[in-house]
Amino acid sequence: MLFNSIEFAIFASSVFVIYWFLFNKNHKSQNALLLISSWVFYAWWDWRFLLLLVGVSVINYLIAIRISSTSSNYGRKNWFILGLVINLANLIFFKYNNFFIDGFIDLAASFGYNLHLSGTKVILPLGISFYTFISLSYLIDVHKKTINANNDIVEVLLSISFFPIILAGPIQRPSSVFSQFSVKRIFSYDMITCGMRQILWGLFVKVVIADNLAIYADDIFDNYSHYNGITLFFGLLFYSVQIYADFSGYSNIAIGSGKLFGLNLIQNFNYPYFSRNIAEFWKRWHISLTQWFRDYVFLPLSFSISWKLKNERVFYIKADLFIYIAASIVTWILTGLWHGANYTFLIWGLLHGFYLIIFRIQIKPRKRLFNKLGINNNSGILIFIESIITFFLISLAWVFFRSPTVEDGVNYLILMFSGAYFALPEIAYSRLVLLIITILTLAFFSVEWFGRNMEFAIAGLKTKTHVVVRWMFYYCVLVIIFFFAGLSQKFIYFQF
Amino acid sequence: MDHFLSSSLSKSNSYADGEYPIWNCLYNGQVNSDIVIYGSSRALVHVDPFILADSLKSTVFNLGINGHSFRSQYFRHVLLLKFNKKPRIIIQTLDITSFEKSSDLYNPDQYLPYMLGNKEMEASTFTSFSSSDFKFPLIRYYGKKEAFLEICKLYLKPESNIPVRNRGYQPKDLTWNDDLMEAQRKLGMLEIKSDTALIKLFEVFLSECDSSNIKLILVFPPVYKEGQIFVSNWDEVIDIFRQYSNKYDIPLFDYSNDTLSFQKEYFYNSGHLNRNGAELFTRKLIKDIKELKFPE
Repeated sequence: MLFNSIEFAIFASSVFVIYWFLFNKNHKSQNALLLISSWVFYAWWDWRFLLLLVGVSVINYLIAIRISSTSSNYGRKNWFILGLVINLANLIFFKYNNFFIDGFIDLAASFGYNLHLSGTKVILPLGISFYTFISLSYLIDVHKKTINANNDIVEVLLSISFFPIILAGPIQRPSSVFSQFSVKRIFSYDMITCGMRQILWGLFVKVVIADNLAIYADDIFDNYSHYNGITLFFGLLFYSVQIYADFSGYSNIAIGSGKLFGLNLIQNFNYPYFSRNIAEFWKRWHISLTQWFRDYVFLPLSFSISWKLKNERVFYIKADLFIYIAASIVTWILTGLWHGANYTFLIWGLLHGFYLIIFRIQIKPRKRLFNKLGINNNSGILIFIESIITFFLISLAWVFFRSPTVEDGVNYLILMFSGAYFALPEIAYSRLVLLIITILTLAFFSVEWFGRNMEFAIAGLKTKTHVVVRWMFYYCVLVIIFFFAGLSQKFIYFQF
Repeated sequence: MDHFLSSSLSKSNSYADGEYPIWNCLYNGQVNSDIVIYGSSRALVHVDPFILADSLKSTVFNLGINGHSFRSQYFRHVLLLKFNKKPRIIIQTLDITSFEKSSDLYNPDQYLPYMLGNKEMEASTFTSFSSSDFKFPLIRYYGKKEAFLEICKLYLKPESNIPVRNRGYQPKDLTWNDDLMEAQRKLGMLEIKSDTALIKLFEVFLSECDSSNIKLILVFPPVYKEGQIFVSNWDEVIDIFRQYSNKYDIPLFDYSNDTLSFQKEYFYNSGHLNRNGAELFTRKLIKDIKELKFPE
């Protein structure tokens, strides 16, 4: 069930009432209810894959126990590797099976062999990328002795299956929620109203901004060869905003839902499009995933490479820069592929890796140049220009993220840059509706700008506005959501 | 809130292809005409009720519904008899697609103001809406931004609410446009699949008119000749009309081979006559109706 559906509203409300009024004796009963509810939520999509989820979760629970209870490092490592293999094999089979088969067929074709490999296309279980990474982080943390294995099976299963986060994150590390699961949650009016406020904002951003812009972005991207350059440029803008609104909207609903049950989840977006450079962007976009790759791939890889390097320079590059480049390339290949089994995601990941490497290289020369020219690094104009450039570079990479093939992505960019910028955009749909959506999008970014120091854009409404103004705002947002909801679209990150 | 939205929206003369005034007249008993015209867009742009009224000395109303096959046309017939005076004559215009089952509902917003609790409408609009749209208030307005903006426009700029249809008639002051022909060329030959349920419904309609003593005239308006060749089973569909015409002894006027069908200057696309063509066609129709010598 989608977060913006009547079914979810009924489901969440029912669980909320039962949770606080019937199952509030202790934390164990609260956890048990949340776990059963999460399984019901997941099974609503496909009960067969619930069996897979439960099976993998139980295996992770048992392996973590074995890792913790095994005294020898060799034994611990073996159990850890077993856990890694099971989780990664599960993910690779379901997510990349078709990709590898198609790739093998293409490779054979390039050598003149036409293979007809019959086989069933594998269905991708919803949320598999997310719950696999949650599971992996648990096993890694236990193996590294960051935490002890949790003997409470309900808490472990719940940390992997918790319904607000299982389908599209945030990737909440079990180590950060066990302390919350192990105590009884007390009803807090402030926390619950904050959660509802966050859900309201997430719904507005998702169904009004994202779902409406999707109509235009989809039309332009799916028919890009028929449009002029300026239209393709607008298509790029629409998609850039759409994906942010879609994913951040979802995350806000997920985090807000967590608050309804007294649970604090990790912030997943921190106003990324206000970033002045690419490094800052990746500290603000999909924070849970970026931190996961940083902690479990980039940093260990960097340390591993640094131990092996003997010289101060490698291929005439300073060792620390070489380590950064090597670790970044691997990390961003994996980040790209995590998003999908397609070369387009690989290109997208590599582009961002390339951006970060260039950014790293230019830090010192840029500082020297600015000092020489007397440019104030914190001037408003400079920050504004850098933010625009950063947004533009990120948007260019989104072309590959959105396009079905690399060829389509390249052609889109070629056509976009090939001219016709002084013609009017050829948008087929109602101009009035597009104007309204544009105004609402600008309003959205304005509210985000003024709320950029808070956890979510309207978090400060309760303390900073009069109750009448606050409720008028809520009512207006609800009316806008009701009438201006776009055609129902799946959350983009569900496909991962 | 639902009542406010519905009553406001139903006042629009132009939104939803200008169908609200027609539905309002049906529900409020304001059709009350001796002669009523049924059909699709080929009825509402082809048959001029004013010329008909003047020549036949009768009150005339055009109930043509844009983009809909016989199912929706029959629904209007049911409403007409329920809320209005029984007509003396029904002119049922037919198209090559009259009995084709459509996969989706064209112009669903035209139903919005009338849906709540409307079981008959629920039965006739079997796609696009769920049963909760008919049972619970407001649900059907979810995401209807164009409707919401139209309501705002009605209150903020009432002078912009200009009628587009007059007694249901909407002539088109347009010259020939090749888009439809181009689309037909790209699609190639098309076979029309007539739905047996719709054909049965048509037969029910014929026998109801017969038992109610309503004079029925079946009319197949002109279609530009070059557009006819894209339908591979053209004659087969026309034969269905002829079959029922013979069975129920109902006059059938087939203008698909009329001289008008060969004259591009009277069409704005292969299926629709422009204003000049419609006036010419209406006069031909009147001449043929007069020859039937229906009693007053």
